[in-house]
Amino acid sequence: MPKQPPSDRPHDDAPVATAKDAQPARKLIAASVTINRSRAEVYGRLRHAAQLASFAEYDVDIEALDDRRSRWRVLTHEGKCYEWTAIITDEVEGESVTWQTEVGTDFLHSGQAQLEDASGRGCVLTLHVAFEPAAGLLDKLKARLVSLDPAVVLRTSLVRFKQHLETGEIATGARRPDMVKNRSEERI
Amino acid sequence: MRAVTWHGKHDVRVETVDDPDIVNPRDAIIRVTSTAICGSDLHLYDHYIPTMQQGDILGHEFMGEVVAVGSASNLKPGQRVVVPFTIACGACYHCGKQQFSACDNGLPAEKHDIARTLYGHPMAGLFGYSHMTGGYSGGQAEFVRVPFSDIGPIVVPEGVPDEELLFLSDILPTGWMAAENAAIEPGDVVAIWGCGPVGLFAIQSAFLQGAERVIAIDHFPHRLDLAKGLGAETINFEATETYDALMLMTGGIGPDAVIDAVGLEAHGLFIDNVVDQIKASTFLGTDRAHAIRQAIIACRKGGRVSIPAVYGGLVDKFPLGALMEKGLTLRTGQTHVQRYLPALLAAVLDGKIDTTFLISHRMPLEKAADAYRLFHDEQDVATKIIMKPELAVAAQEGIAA
Repeated sequence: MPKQPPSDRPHDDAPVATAKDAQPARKLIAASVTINRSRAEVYGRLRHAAQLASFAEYDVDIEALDDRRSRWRVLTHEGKCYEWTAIITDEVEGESVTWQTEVGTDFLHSGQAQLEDASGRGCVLTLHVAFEPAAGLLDKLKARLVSLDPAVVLRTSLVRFKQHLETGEIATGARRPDMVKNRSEERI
Repeated sequence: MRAVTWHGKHDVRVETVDDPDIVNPRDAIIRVTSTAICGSDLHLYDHYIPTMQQGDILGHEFMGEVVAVGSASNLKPGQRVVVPFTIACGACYHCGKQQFSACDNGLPAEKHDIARTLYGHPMAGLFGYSHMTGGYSGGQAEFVRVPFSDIGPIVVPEGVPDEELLFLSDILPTGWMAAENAAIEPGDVVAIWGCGPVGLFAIQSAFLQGAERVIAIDHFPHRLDLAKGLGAETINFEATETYDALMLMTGGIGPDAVIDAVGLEAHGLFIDNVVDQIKASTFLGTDRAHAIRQAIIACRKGGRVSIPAVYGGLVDKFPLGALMEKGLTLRTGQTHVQRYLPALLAAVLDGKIDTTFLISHRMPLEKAADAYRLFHDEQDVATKIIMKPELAVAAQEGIAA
């Protein structure tokens, strides 16, 4: 998301996604991670949508329809399937990718990935996603319990993305390949 | 394979479980030749550390032979290695600064949230030490999967007994880093709380790093004897007022540096310990912190406080005022084992550090339940227990000391 103009954020200079007083119709979540790799390398990986599936919390299938559109199918471990088409609406080479979903798809949201140099530590990747939140307290609690909380999914997916870029693999405590479970089942 | 598994408070068993296999490209599989029970394993045994699950394989001090490697490992089958207890990637910012126990990538992403909640940040993975540290199967087993095997394990020469090398996995570098964190200056007096294995290695390390005197504090006579054998002066806190003794032994100045090698299960019938025990039992607190409280109070003005000991959660009545008003420097952390391995291996091979004097028992892996009970209940005599998967049960009846 673009930074809010100062008049909209009178309290401080903190990211708007961390505001306590925001009551928007759409929920804005954000996560950032510092990746010890160049901005160009990270950007290149981000733009290959189909490869992003391996970092997700769930069984995800991502099909690149063209250079700007991709079809996402997400199967939760409860067997529920969510589908949406994401369209890149704006892009600055090496700096940011902005997207939104087509109207009528399951998880209506918009988002932006931003990259900044991190002075000797690689680069910072920040993701913002705005979406329609679960309506009631019960739905929110349920989402949290089954790890559907988008903030958790966003954060853990970013961690795996970083792990893969920095180490060439994704950390797992599994003792054998057949013990690598659905990741949300692995949560403590 | 046979492995030591956790099933609850004071309930460890030796069970048959599936062998490990290569999961990631940088993995190696090690056939364990020797493993040890760490003092911090007793925190699991006493169920002080959260997020343990039934059937978890214990053990983070182990060495053995490489039997299989992933496509990106630089180890070779047949090599003999000692494995650090911290699982670190070697590629992140923190590993680049040799802060291996703060590695960004050793912990599976789905395990990050509880550490974020408790500590603000997830830390490196650890072998056999709860799911908060990754849920990695430990080394008290016949075989173990070692992630990032190109970074962690150190290849050791043939012909040197396991016993001389095994403690490179944890307690020797932990004792060394404890002394390093005390920033010892020539002529210093260093006081060390706890004469368990880490405390004993901290004594040796403190002398090697320039301490003129080391004062060791414990209440187990045999452990105090071991400390004395290393050249330390001793205080038995059951028989002596520790603070008064330290002041008299240092001309009223206090120790220049203090090291807490006790941690969250401090012993002794002290009022703060009793209160901590009640709070831990009623979920109002987690750690019994008598040793670090006393260490901070005793430390000289402008002195240094080093905490190699394990703390897991929250402590109250922490003497923050003394820390601030006396201008103390506090350094702590899980050990950056990988940072110290080459130099400490050389020191062991050169005979500069004695790594075997503290071993009290050698037992078969099959006897792990007895070993845990012994280490827990008989801390005076059971200073360090090594377990060997290949040691036949019949051969050790009578347990050689």
